[in-house]
Amino acid sequence: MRWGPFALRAGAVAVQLFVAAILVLSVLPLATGGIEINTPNEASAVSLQDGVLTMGFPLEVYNGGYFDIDDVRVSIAMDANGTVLTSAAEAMDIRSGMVNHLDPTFSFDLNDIAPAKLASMVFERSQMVLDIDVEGTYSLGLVGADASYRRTVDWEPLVRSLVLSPDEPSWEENGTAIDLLMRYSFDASPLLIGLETGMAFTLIGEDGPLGDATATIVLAHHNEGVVRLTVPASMMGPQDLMVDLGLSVGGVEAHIDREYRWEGAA
Amino acid sequence: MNEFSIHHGKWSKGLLAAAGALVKYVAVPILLLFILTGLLESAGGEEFVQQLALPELTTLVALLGAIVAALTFFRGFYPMGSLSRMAFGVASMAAAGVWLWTFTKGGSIALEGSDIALGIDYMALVLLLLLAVVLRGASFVAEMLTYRKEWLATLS
Repeated sequence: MRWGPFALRAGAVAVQLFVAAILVLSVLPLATGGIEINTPNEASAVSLQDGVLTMGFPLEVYNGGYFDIDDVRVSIAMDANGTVLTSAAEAMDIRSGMVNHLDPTFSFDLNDIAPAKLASMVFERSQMVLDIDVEGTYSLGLVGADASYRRTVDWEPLVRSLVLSPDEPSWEENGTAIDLLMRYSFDASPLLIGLETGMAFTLIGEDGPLGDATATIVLAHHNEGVVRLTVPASMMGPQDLMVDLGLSVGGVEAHIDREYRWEGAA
Repeated sequence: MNEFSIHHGKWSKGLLAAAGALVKYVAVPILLLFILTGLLESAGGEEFVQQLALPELTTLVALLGAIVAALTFFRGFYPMGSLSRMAFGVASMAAAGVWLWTFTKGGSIALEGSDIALGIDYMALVLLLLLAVVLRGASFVAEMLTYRKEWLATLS
């Protein structure tokens, strides 16, 4: 036996057998349904704090293969009305032969969104485009995979059914001014329930600001109340009015306007 | 002394080696590519067949496999210990390396659908297989050195 050539050929065969074994042990479980992923229908919003929206996507992954799926990284790019916010979850490992309970969370700084576009996210229903990227390594790190897919989701407004009524229930004389009693009502997203919210009302007439009022409430599912706006008596005549509501909650501030026709305080 | 003279070799051994190379580098890979193409097309993945350029890959694999088989013929034709066998052995392994790189598409593939993109990187596995090819090529050099004296003795 000539050991030199034999050793080199044996080495070549050993390497080839190793690669073949890796391929068989990697591909076979995947081909026979060895990977199962159970995801919720929608994200579980975790918190809104200091303007940062944190969302969680708990999921269960069963890896029936022989190898762990290592260093799994998930990143999401969210197109919020033209502004792209990105976030990446921490790296995860999906162990072989078991159900893995994963809870990747993603944080988006809503203050990166332009005020006008942020207002539409707070007060309007819209569609949001998510670009989701998942990458990881398999087969002892010898194989890497990167999958990207786009998903369009419905974004429910944080504040719904907003009603501002400056012309009811009444107004009251207050010396040379009048107190306009403005009723407000709106429904809050479950994400906001329990958060302290500041509301700033500004009444603007044809000649400029007429008066303002503030209110601070702890949000419930349905919220309603009355604020008192003190305005000059000269406002008593009919004119077009605009009410600007500035809502500040969880470190996010958004504004919305409503226009009204004021028929006078007669 | 011309070590590349056809009088030194055996046609039966050359043909046997070439036949084995044709099966390994032409017949089996083409069969696998046909099966993959059929599976993808039956599953509605004609787009992926085009993205992977499977028809062109099949032609290229067949062409490169034929070159490997031709070189393997001469490797098997010449006896151990001869420079000719070593030369064709190393050349056939070099061609096999090119064949391997082509067949594995350089160790990575990328597929794009309407809303999904998939990339798979298996360069590490391809490099391991190329290592095996290099070891095999080195074995022909070691074989020549090992059997050189015996081969030269048969000439005298």
